[in-house]
Amino acid sequence: MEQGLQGAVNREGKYLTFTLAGEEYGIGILKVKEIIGIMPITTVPQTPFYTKGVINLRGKVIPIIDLRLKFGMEAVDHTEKTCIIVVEIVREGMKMQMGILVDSVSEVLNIKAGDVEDAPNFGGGLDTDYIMGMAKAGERVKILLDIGKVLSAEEICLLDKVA
Amino acid sequence: MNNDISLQVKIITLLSVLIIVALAFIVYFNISNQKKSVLREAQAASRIIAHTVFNGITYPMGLGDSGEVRKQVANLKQYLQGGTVFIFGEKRTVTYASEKGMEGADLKKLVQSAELTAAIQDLLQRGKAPERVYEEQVDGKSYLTFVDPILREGKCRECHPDGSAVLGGLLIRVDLAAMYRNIRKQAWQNVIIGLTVSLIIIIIIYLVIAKLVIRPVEQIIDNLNEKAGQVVASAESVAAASQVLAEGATEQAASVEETSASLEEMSSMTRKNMENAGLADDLLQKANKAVVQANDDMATLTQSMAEISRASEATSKIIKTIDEIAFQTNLLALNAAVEAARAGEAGAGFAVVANEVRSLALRAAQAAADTAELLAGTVQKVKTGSDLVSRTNTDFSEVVRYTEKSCVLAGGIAAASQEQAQGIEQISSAVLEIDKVVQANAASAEESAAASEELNQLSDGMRGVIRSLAALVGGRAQMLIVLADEESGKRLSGTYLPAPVISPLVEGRAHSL
Repeated sequence: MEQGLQGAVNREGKYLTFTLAGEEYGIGILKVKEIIGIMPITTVPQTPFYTKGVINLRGKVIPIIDLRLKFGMEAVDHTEKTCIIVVEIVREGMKMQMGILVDSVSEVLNIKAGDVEDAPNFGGGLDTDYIMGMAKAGERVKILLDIGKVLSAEEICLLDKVA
Repeated sequence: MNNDISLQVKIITLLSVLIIVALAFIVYFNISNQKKSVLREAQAASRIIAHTVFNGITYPMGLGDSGEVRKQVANLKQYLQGGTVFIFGEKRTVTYASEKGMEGADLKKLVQSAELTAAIQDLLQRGKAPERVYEEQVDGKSYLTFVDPILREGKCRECHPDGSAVLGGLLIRVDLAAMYRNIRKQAWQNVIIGLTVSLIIIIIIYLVIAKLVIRPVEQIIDNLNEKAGQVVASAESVAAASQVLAEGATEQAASVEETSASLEEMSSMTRKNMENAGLADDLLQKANKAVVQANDDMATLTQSMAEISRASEATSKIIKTIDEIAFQTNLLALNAAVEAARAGEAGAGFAVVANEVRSLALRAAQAAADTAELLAGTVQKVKTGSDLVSRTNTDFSEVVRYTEKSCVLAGGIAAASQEQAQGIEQISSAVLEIDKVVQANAASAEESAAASEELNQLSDGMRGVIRSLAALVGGRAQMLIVLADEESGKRLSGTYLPAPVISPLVEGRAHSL
């Protein structure tokens, strides 16, 4: 929460941008542990549909989530550009590592506070909490994600259980 | 002249002449026979009379009764019917006569015939009786005279004691005129009867000839005339037909000529066709070879293109590897940036290095991408080339197919042209045969025309014969009738002699097909 507050107050900083379904998203670089290319995923039964499975990363078992499915987009085949971003999130005081499957990883951007806008309200009961803001870069808009909010607590527990 | 007299007349004339001649003969024969018999009878009668007279007068003479003798002699006149009896003595004077006033007449004056005189002389001298009768002409009348001697015998010596042996003679003169008149009358009767009978016979013969001979012959003449007319008509129709035939043969010959000309054209066309087909075949064979060559070349081309493809693929793989390397380098750079960010101040320089590495990676990636693009372009081009090659292959194989078909067709054309040439040869030989037949036809037409002309002439001859037959039978009238028929018949017929047909193929036969 502190981080979230901090994040809310200071959205300036370096972001790792990635593309997902043609849209550019950004994640705070401090949240990013590692970027790896696609590697074999071991599927685990009885997991939510957006959970692809787990991978073995240098001895550590990291659960992988397909962000497309999480966001409700349709799944696509993995390309050579498909990457797994290993992020570190804090839940209930515990550090957790998770991998998210993205279409491709772009770059590390230095985004100023002035370039960031707040996420507009789309109306309805849509929870846009996980969007930290919209960053303007050139002509495009990069959606800055709060990766911590992308996954809810129960899911994290589930995931933790799995891990 | 002969022709004016009809057969009947001639026959009848002949018959009449014959009958008349026969009659004349018969009559003459009859008359002479009758004369002879009459003479004989007269002779016999005279002899009998002489004997009778002799016997009649010997008795009274023996008695010396002259008166009785005279009476007897006078009575004899009745017997003799116009004849006279003289008894004359040695001195040749009439002592007794049946005619009054004849007594004492000199025999020399009475007897007109020299023979008789001589006979009397002989009789008086020798007493020989001429056993024949003599003809005398006294005063224009004919008499038959018979003399018999009176011999000095027995009782006569009483009155005539001296003298020669012959006392005298007995002369009996019979008038022949009546007899001759009778004979002539009979003869005339005969003649008349004969003439009548012969006339009847002649008439009968005339009618018989008319019916049995003339009429049938006339009918025959009519028939013959008719037939001759028919012959002429037939000859004329034959002539017309042969003319038509000749014309037809001429037309035929012309058509045959045309046909042979067309056939020659056709055959030359066929030859050209065959040559062309041969050429086409050659060209197609060459085309086939060229196509095969092209196919081979294209196979080689395909091979080399495949090699290019392979090379491109290999290059592409390498490029891919380079791209992957770039990508991984990018990721590493990003990771480095993340670590540098985590490191905070200490990692600032490292962040720069990471950035540079990242840009290098990006450059490599870009180069790889460009190269990949070029390669893709090349591959695309190669693919296009390959497509074109395969299309060309298909086209070529189609060309080959069509070429083969054309080859087959050309072969078919050549074979067909060959057969055509053969057929044309056959046709031309058949046309030659037709020409021969046409010539034969023309010759036959000429012969027919000549034969019909002959027929005409023959029928004319026949007409002549008929005419003479008609003349023979019926005389001039019949001949005129026949002539009239001939004229009417001749008006229908002309003398058709078709012009001789000269076949144009006689010269044109030199056309070789």
